[in-house]
Amino acid sequence: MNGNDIFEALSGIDPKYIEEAAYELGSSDQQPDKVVDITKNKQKNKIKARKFYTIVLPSVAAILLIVGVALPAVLKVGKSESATMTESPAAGSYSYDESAAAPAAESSDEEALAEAPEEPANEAMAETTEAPAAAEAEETAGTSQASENVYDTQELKPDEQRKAQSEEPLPAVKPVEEAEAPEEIEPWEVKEADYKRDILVIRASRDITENIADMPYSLERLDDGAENVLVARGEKLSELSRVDVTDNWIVLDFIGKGLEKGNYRLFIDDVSVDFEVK
Amino acid sequence: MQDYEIVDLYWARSENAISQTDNKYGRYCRKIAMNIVSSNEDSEECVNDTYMSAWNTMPEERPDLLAPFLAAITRNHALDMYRKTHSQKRGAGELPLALDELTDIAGGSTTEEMVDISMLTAHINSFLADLESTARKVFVRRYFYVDSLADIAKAYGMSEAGVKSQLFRLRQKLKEFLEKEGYEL
Repeated sequence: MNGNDIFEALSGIDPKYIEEAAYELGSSDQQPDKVVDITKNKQKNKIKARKFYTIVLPSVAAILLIVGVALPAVLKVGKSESATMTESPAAGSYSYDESAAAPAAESSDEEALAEAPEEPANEAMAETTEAPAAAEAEETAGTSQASENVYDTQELKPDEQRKAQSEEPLPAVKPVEEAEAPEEIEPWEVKEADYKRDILVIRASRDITENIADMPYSLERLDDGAENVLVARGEKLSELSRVDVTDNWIVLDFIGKGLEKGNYRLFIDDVSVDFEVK
Repeated sequence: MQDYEIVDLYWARSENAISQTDNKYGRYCRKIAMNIVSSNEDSEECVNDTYMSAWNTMPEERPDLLAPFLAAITRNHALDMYRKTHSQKRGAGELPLALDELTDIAGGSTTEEMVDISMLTAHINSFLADLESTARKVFVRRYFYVDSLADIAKAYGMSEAGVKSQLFRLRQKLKEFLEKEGYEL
């Protein structure tokens, strides 16, 4: 395939693209009837954009706030509440229930003693002796559980403290790492350079993220066997030419600069680019 | 006159069809032809050939949009004329420059391998569909209409250098696109 094939293929492109570009081409008497306005939804797009910025974005921001701030806060509150509940209610409830239960048992036992025959009374006595014993056992168990629970909550606190302590250094680490990142940009080098129709195209070894246009430059003409001739030098490359950077492509426009035929070396900061003007 | 009314004239084999077409799209077609052949006489001939082709293809054809229909016919006639008159030497005008630019994408050598032009057109349509509107217009103006960089820059409020840079990036993008589609470039 060659350029002619592409040129020929362009004859059959979608009419709407031909029409789209043609609208500005013709004069007023050649206004086509049906303007195939590829951007006919411009108005709709504007409305959509407005809706996006006034409704969607704030909604998303609110959701993120809720998820990122409120939810962890709620979860933390939930944890602390559950910790306090394990501490007091267990001890309190056991002691309260037992104290409440014991008198009731005793009163019922007394009634039973008054009314019932000897054996029921014995049973009641057994029950009453058993009940306090059971109550004592339960009480000790409850208090031991309570104490265990207290122990647990006491243990939680150090964990929480440890967590808080462990969390504290993190924010301090990040800025240091971020501050270091710019210094680690690897230098780039020239993979290929081609000068054609007043345009110098440079393919770099990586995507160019730094501002090339503000870098110092010098342009030398290379002559065989003689010293290089300095053509131009400056603090900013944008003084020499229009600079366009896309990914790892650098395009310098020398239109109007009148570079004569020959070999040149362009320094962009420390990077040298050799090219030939034919 | 509306496009469909002019098409109806062709279908009715009315002689008025040509005059109405010339009235509405004459300057448009001449501009396209002139961009390619760079000669008033030759461009006039191309436009006349365009009307003849339109007369011969309608009926059967019933284009919805007359402008792109006529543009494609004019372009082909102009290309044929250019090749006829400049078979031996590189001619003046924008066409050689535009063709030269397209060699950035697909070299300049003729190969014996037949290229399915209709398939290539489909791929180019896919490529154009993904472009932003202004970029697409700049590309079509340069490589379909063979407009000069100055005219394109003026039409879209850009500098000539900006148009050049954009066209370069678009050619690179098209090259990568076609390579992904399996073309050997």
